[in-house]
Amino acid sequence: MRSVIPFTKLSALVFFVFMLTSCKVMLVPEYNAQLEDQITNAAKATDKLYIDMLDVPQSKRTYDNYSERYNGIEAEINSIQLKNEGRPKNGDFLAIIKNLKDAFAEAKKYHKDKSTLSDGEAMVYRGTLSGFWKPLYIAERALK
Amino acid sequence: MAFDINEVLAQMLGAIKTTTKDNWNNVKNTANSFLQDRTLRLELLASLRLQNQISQEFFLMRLEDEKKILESELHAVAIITKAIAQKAANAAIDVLQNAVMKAIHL
Repeated sequence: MRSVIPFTKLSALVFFVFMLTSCKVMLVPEYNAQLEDQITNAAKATDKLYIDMLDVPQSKRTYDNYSERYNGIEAEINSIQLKNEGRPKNGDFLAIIKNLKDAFAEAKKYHKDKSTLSDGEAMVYRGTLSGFWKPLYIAERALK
Repeated sequence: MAFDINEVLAQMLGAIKTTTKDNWNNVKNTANSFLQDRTLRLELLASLRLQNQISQEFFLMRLEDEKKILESELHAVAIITKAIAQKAANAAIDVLQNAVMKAIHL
């Protein structure tokens, strides 16, 4: 059965619709293309850090030779965190970034403490850190 | 112009179904992709440990990392699901708004 609302009763409905449209449902932050690029570039820099390490003998894989690159990536992660802190509905993003930040700091400290990394350690860190970056990348793209 | 509430509700439901159906595959594909990555990482980790190329301590630390990666992946899936729900809700609201605008000739 079809129920029909007379024209005269539409004013309340119009008001309701205007209320609805003025406050659209928001469960996640808005997509940010600049952030997606930053995530992609920082993830690539992390991957390349370990690819380059694996390209040289272990004796040349000292922390000092890579400290600037570690610091550059760490600064990028901090910048991504800062930008996300300023977004609404950011809880899931901040949790992903915290895990990434902690994992990268641990990888950096491990290399610094040991001075060098074995092939096996560099290979594993490459895969593990990629695993931490991917959810962040996927999540940002889901906002498109 | 008459405003048929049943028809509008059906259209709103249609908008929700279309939005979620189009996006639901993304969740499935993402979950599979995460699973494949984890399989490769664990295979590498086990193989390097068996060949004694990494220490037991390093091996255990990386297993702990896997728990954290899983946590991050679940947050990513939550974001995908929320984004789908948001798109569906806003698509339904758009249908309602358009129907009312049409009814009052705005």
